[in-house]
Amino acid sequence: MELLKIENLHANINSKEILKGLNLTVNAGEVHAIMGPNGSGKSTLASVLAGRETFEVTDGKVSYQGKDLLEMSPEVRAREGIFLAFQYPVEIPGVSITNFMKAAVGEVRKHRGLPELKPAEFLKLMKEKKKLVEMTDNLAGRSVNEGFSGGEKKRNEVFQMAMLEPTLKILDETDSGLDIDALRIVASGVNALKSADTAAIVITHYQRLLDYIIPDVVHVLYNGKIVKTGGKELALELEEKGYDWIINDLK
Amino acid sequence: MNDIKKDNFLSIYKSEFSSIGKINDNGQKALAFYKQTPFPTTKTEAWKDTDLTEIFTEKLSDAPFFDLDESFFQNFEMPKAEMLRLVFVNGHFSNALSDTNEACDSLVIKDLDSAIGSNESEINQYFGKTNINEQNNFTALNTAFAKNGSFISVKKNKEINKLIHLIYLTDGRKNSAFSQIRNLIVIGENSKASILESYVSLSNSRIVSNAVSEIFMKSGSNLEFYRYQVENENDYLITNTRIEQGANSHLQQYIFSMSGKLIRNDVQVNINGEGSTNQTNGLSLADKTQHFDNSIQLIHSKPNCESKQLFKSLIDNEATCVFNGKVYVAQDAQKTNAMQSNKNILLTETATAHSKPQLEIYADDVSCSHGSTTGQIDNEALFYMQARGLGKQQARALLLFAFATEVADSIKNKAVKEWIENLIDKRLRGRNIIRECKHVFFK
Repeated sequence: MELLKIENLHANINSKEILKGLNLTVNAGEVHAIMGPNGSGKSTLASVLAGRETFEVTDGKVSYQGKDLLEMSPEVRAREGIFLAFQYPVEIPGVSITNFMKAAVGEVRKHRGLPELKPAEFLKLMKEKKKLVEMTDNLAGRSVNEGFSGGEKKRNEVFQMAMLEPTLKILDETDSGLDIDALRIVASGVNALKSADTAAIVITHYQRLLDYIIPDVVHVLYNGKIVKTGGKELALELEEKGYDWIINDLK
Repeated sequence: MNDIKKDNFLSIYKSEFSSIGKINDNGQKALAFYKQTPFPTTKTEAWKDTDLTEIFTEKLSDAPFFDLDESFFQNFEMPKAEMLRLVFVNGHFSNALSDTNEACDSLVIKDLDSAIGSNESEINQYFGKTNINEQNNFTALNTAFAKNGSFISVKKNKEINKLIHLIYLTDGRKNSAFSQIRNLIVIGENSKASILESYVSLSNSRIVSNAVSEIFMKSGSNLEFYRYQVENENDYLITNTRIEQGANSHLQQYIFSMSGKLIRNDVQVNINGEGSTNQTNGLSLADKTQHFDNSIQLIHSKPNCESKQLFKSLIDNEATCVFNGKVYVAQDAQKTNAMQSNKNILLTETATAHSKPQLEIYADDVSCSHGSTTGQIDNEALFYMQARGLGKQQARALLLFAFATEVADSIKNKAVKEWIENLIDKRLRGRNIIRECKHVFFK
């Protein structure tokens, strides 16, 4: 089943074109990895899909579950099941993770026509999902991301992902700044959320993360377009040979 | 050149000292000071960001007393706290509205005018002893002519569990009027109390309120002191406060300026004994053309004391907030630990914040820091919250509420903390304690 279809997507930031006619189709049950050198447009793609207003879409179509994604506000996208794990999670002083998640889960459930969770049910859900990413109770009581280490921030992203039960998960360089233990915890959290009805787009620089999250499809994004697509072995080839051979082929 | 301004106020009282003004001839001295001192202008350093000119434009009358229905106080109830209350209407004491039952031998709670007769020795011992009388023209005017205010005295080794609520209501009944309040508070050795002051206006008339307070904290005493200020949009509120902290005393004070045309709070704390701590916080929520100014001086005279200040403001429309804070550390005050922080969020391009945190240090073994930030609402944080499913308005509300309530985080009295957090939330949604304020920050 087709979950996401991007056709000829063009996007600018400050009048500079970053995405230059990108095409991508993601089906339910699949894990797609998007790799590519710095500045190729990987994080822009993630931001455009999540609805960040600083990017301007100038051409192209994005359909998500048959609906026009670009027409939706960021919050509606989230409620419809799109989740972006941020490369740089934002600190929100004074708002605890628990209260933040209470508000977010409430909105998402309301949108999906699900009944409001009772306090005890919510706490049970929190407990279950915290366990998934080995998050301590102490951390959940703290303000969102405030004073968190790099690893704690990424763990918190995956925790929130688990809480909101998204359909399309986008991980924007979730491996950056992680030591090997944190990487393992984050990856096993992501793997536990894998299902036949959902899909994931994993944006990464390095093959390392793909040892833990095995992709079905690997894409190379370069200069605002997908220039090569292959199976998981493509990631290994990139690790070994770098991107130059692909870029040279294009010339 | 300033005579007309000065005469305006004097003509209200026809040079007749109040009973308070007659205490130890304080009024006479204060009046002499008043006559030879000009009112501050924006050329006066301590007043450069706050222009008082408009106070002097209209002739003011003496604000009259009138009665209120007791049901009015439902607005001030705190379900989880037992309360004692003194109520003043336009600076006049309302015995009928006050509730001072259980003012047993641990505590004296009464209006200052009656205390002059009944508690003479204490009044003589403390009144005017902080040198506040001749601090400026407002304190001098208050010393000579204020008719009444609160007198609170907590005896030695007592813990007062009831919240002491001092309610200062103003209402000019369509007239422009002048109202004064004079307070004296003494917290005895090793005693503990919580005092809340509410400055609330009832009408849209123009009232200029001038409140002066002296607070003496004896050694080992503990005080939580909160001020809730919601005047109407034509009202001026000028407060001058001096607090003397003895050894091992602990003060936590909070100033919540929620509404008013112009509010100026001058607070000076003298830490005069070792081992004392002081937390002084303020929150200003200003919209339209409101102007709130906090001028705070913390004087460390003795070693091994700690002071912390956190002042925050949310400023919308064309409003202005001023923070002028000075921490002074005397040569003897070694091992002082002082922290001062001012954070402002400007919600429009026309909102203004003036921030002047200052440290003046004469001791060499101290740890002092200060900081000030002024910025906009964090769009990155807004997007992050939207990306988790929260609407923009809801995300904004959560961010602003979290920003504002940090000021109240350290309040130990749970009932007061809940009450004030609720009032902050209401204010951000467009309501004040007794009526709509028609301004929504959560838009």
